[in-house]
Amino acid sequence: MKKIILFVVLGITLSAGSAYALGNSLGTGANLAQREARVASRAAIITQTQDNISQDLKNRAQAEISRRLTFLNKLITKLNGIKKISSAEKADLQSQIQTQIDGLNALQTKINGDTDNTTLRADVKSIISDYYIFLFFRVKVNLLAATDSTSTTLGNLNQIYTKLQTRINQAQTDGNDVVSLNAFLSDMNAKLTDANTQVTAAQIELTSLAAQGYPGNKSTLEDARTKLKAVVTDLKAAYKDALQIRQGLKGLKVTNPAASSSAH
Amino acid sequence: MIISAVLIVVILAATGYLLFLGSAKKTTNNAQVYNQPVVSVSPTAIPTPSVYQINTKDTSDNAITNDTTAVNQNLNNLDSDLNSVDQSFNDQQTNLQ
Repeated sequence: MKKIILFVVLGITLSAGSAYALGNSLGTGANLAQREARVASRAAIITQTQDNISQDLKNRAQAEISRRLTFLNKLITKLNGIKKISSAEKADLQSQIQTQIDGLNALQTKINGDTDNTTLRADVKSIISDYYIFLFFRVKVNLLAATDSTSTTLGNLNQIYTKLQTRINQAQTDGNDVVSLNAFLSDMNAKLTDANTQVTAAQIELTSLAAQGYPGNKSTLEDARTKLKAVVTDLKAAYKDALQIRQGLKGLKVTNPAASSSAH
Repeated sequence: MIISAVLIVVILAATGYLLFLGSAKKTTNNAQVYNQPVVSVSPTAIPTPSVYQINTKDTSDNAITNDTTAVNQNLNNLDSDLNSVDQSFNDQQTNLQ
């Protein structure tokens, strides 16, 4: 009987304790669950915000890298079309541009794999710090291409000049007054001589420039551009002189018809 | 005896509930890894236009007219080249910060 009473007392004590503990834990558990839900919600918002920042940075970086790759590949195509620079210089420039392309592709891969924003920001920043190298190649190759075109045009105008000189001399031999034509020819010669001086100087300036010197050497690039613009102005003036001479020759008497109608 | 058994069941249930609450805390958030494809732009083949060659021996009116027409085209191309130069000088860095 004592045993039964003992069990009953023990049972009551244990159940009371357990019920108390259970009640407590249920109450505390509810509060804890609410608090955890709030913490989880806040963490989710922070994570989402960081993901959005990361996504935005990656999108902008990709657009900028893609823009540069497009430009650099166009530059290689343009560079291949330039005739009046040495093959060694062309190969050197092409190699440097290719290095830039490879570097940008590697950077794009790294940025795609970046999982924390600190590393991502540092990688994106490197696009900006390498910007001057990209800009240098873009300016230099465009200047070289323009220099190449001016040289070709200058060569063509020099040949036209020689032809016009031959025709004026012939017209003079035929007894025509060629004073005004010679004045145009003299002006044409002056313009072509100046153009030749300027384009040669621009070529020399451009050849010595390296990417590492940018933006310090920007003023030299700008000077080459100024020279090329002066060359184009000279060439346009020489072209107008040629048109004037061509027009003037048409009104002259010709004793040798072969000179004005067929090849010599 | 029955009461003891009931009590043990209740205690076990309470212990199980507390363990369940404890395990619920261990939820972790895994950051998503963003992968974008690498963009590689390959050079585009541009057809080379036929270049006018001046015949230096032909001094006829027709030849000179053709020569000056070709030079006029050269000069137009030069304007385009200088525009490209100006554009490359004016290139602006996109804000990436």
